[in-house]
Amino acid sequence: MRALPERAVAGFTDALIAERFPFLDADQQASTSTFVLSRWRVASQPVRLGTGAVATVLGAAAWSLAAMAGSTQGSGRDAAWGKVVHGLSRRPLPGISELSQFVVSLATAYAADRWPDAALASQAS
Amino acid sequence: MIDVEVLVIGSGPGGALTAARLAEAGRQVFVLEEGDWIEVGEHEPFSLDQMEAQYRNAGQTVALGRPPIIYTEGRGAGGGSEVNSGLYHRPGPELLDDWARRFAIRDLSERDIVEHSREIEKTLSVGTVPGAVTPASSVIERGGAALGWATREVPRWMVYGETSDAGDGERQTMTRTYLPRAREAGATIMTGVHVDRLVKRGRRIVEVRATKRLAPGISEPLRFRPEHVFVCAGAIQTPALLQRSGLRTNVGRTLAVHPMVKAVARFDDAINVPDDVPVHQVKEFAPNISIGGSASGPGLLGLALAPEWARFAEVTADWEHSSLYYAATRTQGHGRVQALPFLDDPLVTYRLTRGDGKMLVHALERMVHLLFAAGARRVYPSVAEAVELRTAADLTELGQRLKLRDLNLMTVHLCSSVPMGEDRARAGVDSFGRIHGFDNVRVNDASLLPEAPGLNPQGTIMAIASRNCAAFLAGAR
Repeated sequence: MRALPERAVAGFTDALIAERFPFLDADQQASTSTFVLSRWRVASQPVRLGTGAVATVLGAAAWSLAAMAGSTQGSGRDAAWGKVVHGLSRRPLPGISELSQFVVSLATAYAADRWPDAALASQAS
Repeated sequence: MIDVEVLVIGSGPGGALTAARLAEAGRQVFVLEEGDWIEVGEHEPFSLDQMEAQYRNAGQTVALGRPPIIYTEGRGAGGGSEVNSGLYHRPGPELLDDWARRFAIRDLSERDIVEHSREIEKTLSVGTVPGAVTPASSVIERGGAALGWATREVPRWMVYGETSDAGDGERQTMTRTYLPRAREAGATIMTGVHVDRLVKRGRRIVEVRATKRLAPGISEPLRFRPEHVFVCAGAIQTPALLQRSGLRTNVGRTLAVHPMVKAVARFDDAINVPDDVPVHQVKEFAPNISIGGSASGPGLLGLALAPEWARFAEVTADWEHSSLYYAATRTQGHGRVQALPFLDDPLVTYRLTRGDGKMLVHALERMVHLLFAAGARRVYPSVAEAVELRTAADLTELGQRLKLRDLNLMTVHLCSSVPMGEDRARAGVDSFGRIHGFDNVRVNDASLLPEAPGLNPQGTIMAIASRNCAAFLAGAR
């Protein structure tokens, strides 16, 4: 069982990658999320504590949204995370942008390294 | 309890050289290294795999500030020498004289250093590329020539193969040079050991407490009783260890780095060699601004474009035609390293001044001019909202809009967190690395440089470390 901050970072990462990297297929998105989470686990402790705390707050918001919608598990939970991430991309909040930056930077480095033409292929299609 | 004559903590350029020098002088030397011993070539240079295996925290380290500065530290036998670009500068007489005068450092003239530099250059096979440099390196030379700016090929610690070309070189890292020498001379090198703290009594360190990693989740405590301790854990870990041990005077308050701005440049020709770095640098504006090239695998190109990678997808799809360049600056601002209770990793912060911001934007502008002068078709500065520049003129408008907080900054040069000098109000250690107020503990790594030198610092770090070893062996205080 993952600790709360890690679960929150995982939820946030999955949703953000789905939002920002729609041109990656489901397997590629999952692989990218796994990479980001593995790097978060070994990041320096101040980085981990800061981003973990922010993700936990966002996780609470996602849980509240999911509870209001009647499902805090599975697709209900994922949809709530999606709403949180979508809301943040429209209105970035101070202190939270660092978490987004952390995830997007790592995800980009990994995805561009593994599938350098993925983004272009999606433009062509 | 293990009795040792000289305990060296850290095996990067400072620690490896210290271990070899002292062991070859007949001292009983014991080296503690937190990471593993990984042979050169085991991981592809500058790859994500190498970052995971040979960088501290897999490269996820940041100096907090506005903007934050991402930094990297090598972790493992050989430290940063195993993962850096291998570029070498011998410290020049002007720099040394300036430091000696401004920071009250004894015996730091070129005369005091030059023999140490020569020995290091011989051991590391320092030299220029005998054959062809990479196309990405020629870009810098060509752009400099077009603009009338001084450029030079920076020597590297490298042995070249049959073709003598840049891509055929093999780095002469610490695991290839000084660490084997230390071992041959009788030194013991123990990897997988985290040093928790130094125990002090009066003016001496009487015990060093450490933890040896045996397997994932399994470790055992180790205790050493050293006659002398050399702390060589790098500019972040050295002050953190000293602070954890209660040695705090002028420790960790004056971290200096060379922050760098980056840009991706796209050319008609294929120029990218992902596992090597350009050897040319623009020296026209040195020491305040230095322009050079970085490792440029597709992942690193994408990272430089984040969060707008998808908008400029052709850059990584067609990565052979693009390469990453940087402009590094000296700063007026400083950083802090603070050990925190209950945490192994310190908090690192860095405050850049408004003048530093102007300098960085200015450096970015010069780099972009250089790249277009060299024939770049497109240039993508690594800023918060990535943009595509089609001509140097496009930069004028961008430059006026850019603020310090818009820059994506990173650094690989960290120093000056325990500066040397005789002025006890400013310096953490004396002119030869001995911690003020203590008899048997010394710092011998990047931490003791009095400020960022404005060039790749490893040659300077090693030359000063070698000089300090000579002073220690001669019994100088």
